[in-house]
Amino acid sequence: MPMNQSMRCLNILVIDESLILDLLNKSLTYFGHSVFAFNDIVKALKVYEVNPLNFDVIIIDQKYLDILKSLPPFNNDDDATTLIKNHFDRIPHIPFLIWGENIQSTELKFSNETSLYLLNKNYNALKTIGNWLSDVAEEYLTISDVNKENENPVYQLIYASKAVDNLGENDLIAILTMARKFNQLSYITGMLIYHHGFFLQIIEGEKADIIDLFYSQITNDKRHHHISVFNEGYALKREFPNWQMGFYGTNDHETYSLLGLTDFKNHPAGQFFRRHLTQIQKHFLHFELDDFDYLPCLILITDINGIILKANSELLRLIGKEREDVEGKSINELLPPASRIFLQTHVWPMLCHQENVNEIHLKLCGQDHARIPVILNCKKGIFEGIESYFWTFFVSIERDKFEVEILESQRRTESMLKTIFHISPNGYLLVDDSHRILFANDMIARLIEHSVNDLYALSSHQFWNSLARHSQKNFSIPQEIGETHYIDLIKPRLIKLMCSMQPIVLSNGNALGSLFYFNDITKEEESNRIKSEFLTHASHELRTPLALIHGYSELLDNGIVSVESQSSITHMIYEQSTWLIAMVDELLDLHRIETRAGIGFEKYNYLLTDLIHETLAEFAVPNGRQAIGLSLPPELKNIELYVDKIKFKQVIFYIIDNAYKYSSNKGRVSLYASFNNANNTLDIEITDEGIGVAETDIPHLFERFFRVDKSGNIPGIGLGLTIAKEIMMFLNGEIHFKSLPNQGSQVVVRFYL
Amino acid sequence: MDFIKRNNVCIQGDGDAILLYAHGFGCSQAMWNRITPAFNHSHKQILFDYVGSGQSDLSAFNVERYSSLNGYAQDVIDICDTLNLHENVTFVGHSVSCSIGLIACLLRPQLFNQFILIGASPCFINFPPDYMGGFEREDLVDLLALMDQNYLGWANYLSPIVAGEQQNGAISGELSDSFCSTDPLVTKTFAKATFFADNRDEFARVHKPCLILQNSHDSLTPVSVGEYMHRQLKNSQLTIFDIAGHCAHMSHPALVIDAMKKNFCLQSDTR
Repeated sequence: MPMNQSMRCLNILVIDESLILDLLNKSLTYFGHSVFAFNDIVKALKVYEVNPLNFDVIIIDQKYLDILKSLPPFNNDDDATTLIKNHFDRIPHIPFLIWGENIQSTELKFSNETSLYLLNKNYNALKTIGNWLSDVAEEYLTISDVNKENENPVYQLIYASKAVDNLGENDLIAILTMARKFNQLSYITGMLIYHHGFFLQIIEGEKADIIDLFYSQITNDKRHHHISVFNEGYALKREFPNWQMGFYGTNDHETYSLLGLTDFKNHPAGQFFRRHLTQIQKHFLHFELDDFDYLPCLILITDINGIILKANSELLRLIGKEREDVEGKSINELLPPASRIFLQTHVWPMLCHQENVNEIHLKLCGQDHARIPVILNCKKGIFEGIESYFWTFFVSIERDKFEVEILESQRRTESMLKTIFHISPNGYLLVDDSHRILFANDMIARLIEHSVNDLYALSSHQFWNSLARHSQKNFSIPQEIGETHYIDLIKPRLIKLMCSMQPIVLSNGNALGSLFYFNDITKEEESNRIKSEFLTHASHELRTPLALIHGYSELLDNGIVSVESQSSITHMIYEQSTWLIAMVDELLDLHRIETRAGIGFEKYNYLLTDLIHETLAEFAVPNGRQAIGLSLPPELKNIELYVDKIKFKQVIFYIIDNAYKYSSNKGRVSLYASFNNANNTLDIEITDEGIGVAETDIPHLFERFFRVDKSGNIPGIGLGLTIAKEIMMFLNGEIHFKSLPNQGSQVVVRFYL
Repeated sequence: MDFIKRNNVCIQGDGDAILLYAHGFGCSQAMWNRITPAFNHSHKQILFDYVGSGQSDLSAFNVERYSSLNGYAQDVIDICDTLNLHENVTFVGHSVSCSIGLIACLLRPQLFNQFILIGASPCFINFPPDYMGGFEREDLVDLLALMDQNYLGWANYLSPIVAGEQQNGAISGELSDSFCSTDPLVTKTFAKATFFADNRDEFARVHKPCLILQNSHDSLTPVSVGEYMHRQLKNSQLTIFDIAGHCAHMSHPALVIDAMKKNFCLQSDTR
């Protein structure tokens, strides 16, 4: 016998009516009670060293169901079918076939996990199986030839039966012939004969001899030899642990067995069957998805590797493919790349982990490269006896559009608000009831010198503590709406904050958290200070000439001034009112420049040297002061400036005027111009030897009404440099100021050419 | 910082030899639970979740750090440093973790003695004609959109409408304990770092023994990628399983365990 240790066959266990009755009897012997469910039959079979779970297919007589229905707890209950179904569901992995005359396919509604097959005649069932095996054998042979494997296919039919009424010798011969047809018997090397479970004889020999002996056995007089297939199995297991049973037959009232002693473990044929089990089952398992075809969802059944076993018509219609193009292929082939990745990274791990997924958005490949949005629910189960996944897809085109819109809108809002919060000078801090920071903008992060990311790792307590360390003095945290507290920070810079709180309540009434709002009022405070200073200065500056005018005009009005003095008083009034007008003009000028933003400037190209000479010629050097020291390098002679001449002169006047005003009588004022080739800029530099400016005052120099001279001895209202700076903005230039107290100042008027 | 807590480090098993398991994108250390029982008696096994995944401390997540695989490699190094591991660690990585492990190896050459690489890919993007990672860049952009859409429904997170950088564990809802990470920002950051990475050069610089376990039908990493890695990694073995899917350690744990055991025998024989 060509023994091959790696052989494996498709194991089919047939349990017919007589066996069931036998099992019922035996179960009384072994268990003390009658079997009524398949679980118990499984246990009973184990007594015979036959484990149905090791078989690839189990065929059960319909009679079994009838028996089940008649026994407790079913007792022919109307719901017996459902109850039995539940019993079947407990036996996973094994496809069941049921045949019988008395039930219709519609009578028993098995779950997807239970395979159902009905035949009217036992004999027909056997023939069908025989034919089917024969077909498969041919198919396998073809494959075998292609693979050049010099091995014959091996199949094994284990038929457990006793005294089947309508199965006579001729039938047996027919079955044997059928078996021979697919080389079943080529492996038969021996025969075992038992009587009532006791070992009688084991005969080993050539196949032909054994078959002859079998025929003689079933036709001779030894009819009292009662043989049980299970006992054979038991003995076989003992004698030949690696061997499996072969064929079993019966004749009239007695039963004989013919055994093919083989070891089919891991045989390629077995592997082939494993791979093609689904296809094999189709030969006689008429379980179809027809009912599902009418459902308005897409249904797929795959094996645990994602190979498609079934697809309903709705799915095929939608993706525009034929059944043959889909079944047997991987589910990946239905998905575009992004969905394939998502399947691998999310869906499969979840399925492996928890055996189901729900509400997953995916896309299917439709016709003409279309992408069909779907929502997937998937769970693990048993389909036709094998572990499978059941996939249901719901087309979600409208929902997909809606969600894409929501996401897009969310992104837009996100970008918009992010920018707003990012540039906002105010701080926003959202804290939940557990003191976690839900949101903080950049300004908040800057306050405590953190990055926004780091901020989220803090609790709100940590934030407030950190803020307290930056603060000059203790402050309170607002607890109620309308409560406002001031916080003076000393680092990273001097900031005055106004902090208030607003709870955020969702539409369902739940509180999201408390929003703390930080308003930086440093500038506001500064503005108030400037206004206040302005009022002081302006009232002082305006009142002095006004008081003089008022006083002198009162004198004139009273007629107590001599005629000689009248002229000088009138002149005084004229001078003071001229000063007043000049001051008001400056205010108006600044306002005009600011509001008109340079409109109305009459800009032309002028030679720089001409401009400077003309400006200095018009400037009235104060009495007793040295003229301006001028230095214009020769290379500047062709440089032109594109400016409004009057405004240009105004800027230079203000700066020269300040230079004289803020320096002693002996102090020199000089003007120097230079051209920077690298930057293409022209600098007009005016220096003095005056009192200079304290470093802390420099940032405020260009603020309106700011006065370096706090005493008020030096005339002026603090608008000159402000106006000069405003004008330079519209002349494409800027003003820089360098100074040290008592060492004079240097003002650079820079033009970008 | 307590890295053990941050990365939810779990240690199991007895033995001198050390196995460090690094999960792939989208999952957590739970994905190893079909492998670890096989080595409980022979190895000390260290499992962890990357920051942002599994039961890690979400508040430690930082977009900047975790926008590149180096940030994740630093997680690996932090854990080893904390556990006082300086050499002879066997790194078992799945998918993107293989790249992370090899990056960590370049940062700490003495730390690892060998690598088990399951479903690895140095780069998912096609760069024809030299390299075909399996996907076009647009496919990966689609993936991010798909993730957005899924996370819209999955995670009941405080809307990042305002933050755009919301990340502090506000997702304390029922899904936070689930197997797949559910924080949209974390996952998207990890996805970008994973799928847009190109670590082909890094692979070529690793000379440690590597066992590449490649599935014959892996829709994420084609066999050609496995063969490419085999060529790049100078001291590597390539084992191809005739199976489908990307998670052999979950779907076919016996195959992976067997390959690992054989590899350990081989490594100890050659040592």
